[in-house]
Amino acid sequence: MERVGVFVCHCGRNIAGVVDVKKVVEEVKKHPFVFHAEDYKYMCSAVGQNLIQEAIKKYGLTSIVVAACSPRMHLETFRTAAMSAGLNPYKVEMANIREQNSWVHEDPHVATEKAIRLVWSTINKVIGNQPLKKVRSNVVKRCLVIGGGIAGIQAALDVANSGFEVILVEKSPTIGGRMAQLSETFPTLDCAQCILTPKMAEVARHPNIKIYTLSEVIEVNGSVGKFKVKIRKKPRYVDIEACNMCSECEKVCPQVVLDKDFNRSLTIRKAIYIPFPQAVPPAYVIDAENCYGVGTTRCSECVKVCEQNAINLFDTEEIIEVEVGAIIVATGYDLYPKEKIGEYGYGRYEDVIDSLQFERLIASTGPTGGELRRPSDGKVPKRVAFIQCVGSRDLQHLPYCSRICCMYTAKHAFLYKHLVPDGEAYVFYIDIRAGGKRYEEFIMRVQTESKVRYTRGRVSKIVQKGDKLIVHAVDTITGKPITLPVDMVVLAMGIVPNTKEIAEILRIPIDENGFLQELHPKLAPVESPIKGIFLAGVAQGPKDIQDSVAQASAAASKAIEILSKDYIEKEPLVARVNKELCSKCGVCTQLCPYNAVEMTPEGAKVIEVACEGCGTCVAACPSGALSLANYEPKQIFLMVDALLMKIPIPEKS
Amino acid sequence: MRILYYPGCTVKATAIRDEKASLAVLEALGFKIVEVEDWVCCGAVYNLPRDTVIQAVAPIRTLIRAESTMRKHKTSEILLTLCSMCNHVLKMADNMYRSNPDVAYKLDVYLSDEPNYEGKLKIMHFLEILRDLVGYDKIKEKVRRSLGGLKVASFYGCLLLRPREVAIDDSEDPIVIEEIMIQLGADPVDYPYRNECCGSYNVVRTPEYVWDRTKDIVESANDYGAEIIVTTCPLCAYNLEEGQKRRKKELKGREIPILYVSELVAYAFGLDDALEPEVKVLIDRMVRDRG
Repeated sequence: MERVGVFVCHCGRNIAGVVDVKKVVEEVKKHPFVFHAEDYKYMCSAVGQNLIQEAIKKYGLTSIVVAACSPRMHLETFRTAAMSAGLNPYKVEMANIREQNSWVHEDPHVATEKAIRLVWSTINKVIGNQPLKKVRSNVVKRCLVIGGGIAGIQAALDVANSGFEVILVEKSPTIGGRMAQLSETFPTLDCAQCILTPKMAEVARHPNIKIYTLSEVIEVNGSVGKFKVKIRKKPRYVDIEACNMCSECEKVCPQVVLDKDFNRSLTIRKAIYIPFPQAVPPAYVIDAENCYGVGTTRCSECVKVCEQNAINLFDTEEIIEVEVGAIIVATGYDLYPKEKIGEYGYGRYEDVIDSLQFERLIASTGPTGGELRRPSDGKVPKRVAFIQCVGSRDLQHLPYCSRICCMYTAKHAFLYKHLVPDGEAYVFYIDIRAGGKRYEEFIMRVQTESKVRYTRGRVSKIVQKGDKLIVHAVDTITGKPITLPVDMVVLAMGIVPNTKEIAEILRIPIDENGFLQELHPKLAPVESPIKGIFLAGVAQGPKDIQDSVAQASAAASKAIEILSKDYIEKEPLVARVNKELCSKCGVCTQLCPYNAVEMTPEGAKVIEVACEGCGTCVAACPSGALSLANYEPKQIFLMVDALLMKIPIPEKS
Repeated sequence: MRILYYPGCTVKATAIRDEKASLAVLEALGFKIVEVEDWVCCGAVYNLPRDTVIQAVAPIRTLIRAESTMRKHKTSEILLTLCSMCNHVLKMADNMYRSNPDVAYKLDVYLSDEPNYEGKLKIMHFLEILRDLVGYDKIKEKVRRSLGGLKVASFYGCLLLRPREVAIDDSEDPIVIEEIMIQLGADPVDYPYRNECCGSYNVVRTPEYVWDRTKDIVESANDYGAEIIVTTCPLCAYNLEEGQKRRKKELKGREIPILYVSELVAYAFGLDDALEPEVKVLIDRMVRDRG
């Protein structure tokens, strides 16, 4: 015979301010299985926990219901407390009478009745609970890092330095990401390459890191401690080990194409190329789409001159399968396409450029060798307009603030004034958000020392007239319209995350703007809702280099926390099969989002470590052969009965 | 197809050329035009404040009468407009009535001398009818006289394209007039001022400002090689024409004739009776001059 104990928490006035807790105790005592019920001000306190432990011993309780906050908050607390008093933790359940009751209702009469029903229904469930044991599984001591930008690099180094293996997957031919494209970094004006390339080199030589470039994660199964990952490695056509970067191949390559990726269409490159001199891995790569040699015709000029015999035009795609214990996602961002902003020229005017194009134009490694020349005619622009919040904070485009644009625009204007001292720089802004350490000081320096003209106001339209661009704007301080002829316009484009595909593959949710959803915005900002998958960099939300690096290190330490364990304990709330009822139709194996059900000659079989207990297979099974541990149909029906049944309702006081 | 037609005041006065050409074009395309009985002025400018309904009274009264006309003459629910401003005001009022029950209730009470508005109409601008009901291919089939590569600058103005919920096309990159011009054998020019405001009613209070704007618009069209500017808005047409007279000195002989879109369509369809003789002569000369 079950002996249930019920403990009703006041949560200060959070619950007791609305719910008549004494009445709840009094009413649930009428439940035939309840042996003991009491209330206390803070059940989660040491005294409250002690009350529960004492009651278990004193009354020989076999099940516990704590009516308090959400089980997300304190279920672990009460289960641990009950366990030390000798109870199986799975015989403890919580009824949420705070978030789902007292916080959302005002009428004490209704709230008290609802509390009674919720507790009663939880009692009905707990008496059917089986005492379960946690599922244990081993941990694969290897970490997958997706994305080779600064966040991915930092995370990979941190994990590798702790002695664990790292697989770093990058979709482009080199690691380095967006940071490699930048000229200088705010607010200190370090050269981006100078501080990034040492880290890239460290990754390259680290014995614990294996880099896969031109690669994409295409499939992930399993769960924390043991993810099974499939990586598609596209052909590079050049042997990384053999290539000595002599550049002979590049000289003879007849195919000239626009350098769309690294130099953002500002210059040209060959079909066999290296994105930039410090690329890692240091090897050439063939752009298969534009090469004459890879298709049906075989040009092979590069093959003929390569003394290292490093080029193989018959290179093929490879599928690599690895097992990892934890995953860090750092897939970074793209700029919002300037072609979507019609009023600024839809990408029609050559001298209206985006912020990354400007970075390339002023970078010493860029297409002009660091001399600022505008794309249309190569002239030095004597007057430049910088427009902030293009696409960002605009309900027709991106509703959010991209966070980095105020600072990089200040940096752009500053660097422009240094390159063209007699030039004029105008910045159009909504307001300046310079919330980081030494950021405000940097803005002041740009405004005063460099005499950059800041105008508060939005630009309504850019019009081309002859070789000038006419900027139509309004100064919202004086309230007057402005017409400003300039030589070049730099659009501080908002940033958008690269998450669509990876979120689907990893089955982690994205928010309304496409950023990966963290488990908790304040208290778990680097954890994804799936255990063992962590987030870093702009994939999770707009952030600058400083914040990306900090978050990457945080994600790495979370991954290390898992990798350093010998085994993972997992909730035993998994699906079970009644083999006598199973008709082997296979619906469950196809529907399971975690690939946790397999078909055997005896019927369906659940792989317990992989099962997340989502219940999809249980709902779908046509013969009712599947059920979820401690969520048996009988228990659920009893819960529903309690929620709907006629129970004595307390009088209005 | 029988469609309802709301002319509006300007079309019956200064823009009578537009009405004549537009209706002839639509009749040639097989539409039967039924003018709304007892229509009233749309109010011409739609006030943006949301806490008043007064600006919607006149247009809703017209829409109620359009619904009565629809029932009486068994027409379709399509309500044709020609003037950009009427199109804008009717659509804004219709939107407001349909999306906000409180506003609808207030208007019903205010307009208690009329039956309630049922919100069954589909208000369509002349250009929308050509694009969505006729289709570009059918326009091309009807062409009897090609415009012979005439360089045409489309002038949309602002009210056809803003705000987004009543816009007939993309506010920043509209294409419908250009597409129609291509079907007629003309060569549309892409110039940056085509979706700018002409200055609108400022012509009454601060005309100098409007003349400056129209000068910029005409100059830009000229820079991009336009030989003619077409529009669908009577006020734009007036401002552009008058502005060129007032800024004759600054324009230095670079004036461009202003016509309605419907007039070029009527010309290409060979509907000479629908055109004012001087307009026909003008287009004839321009097409002939191109050889």
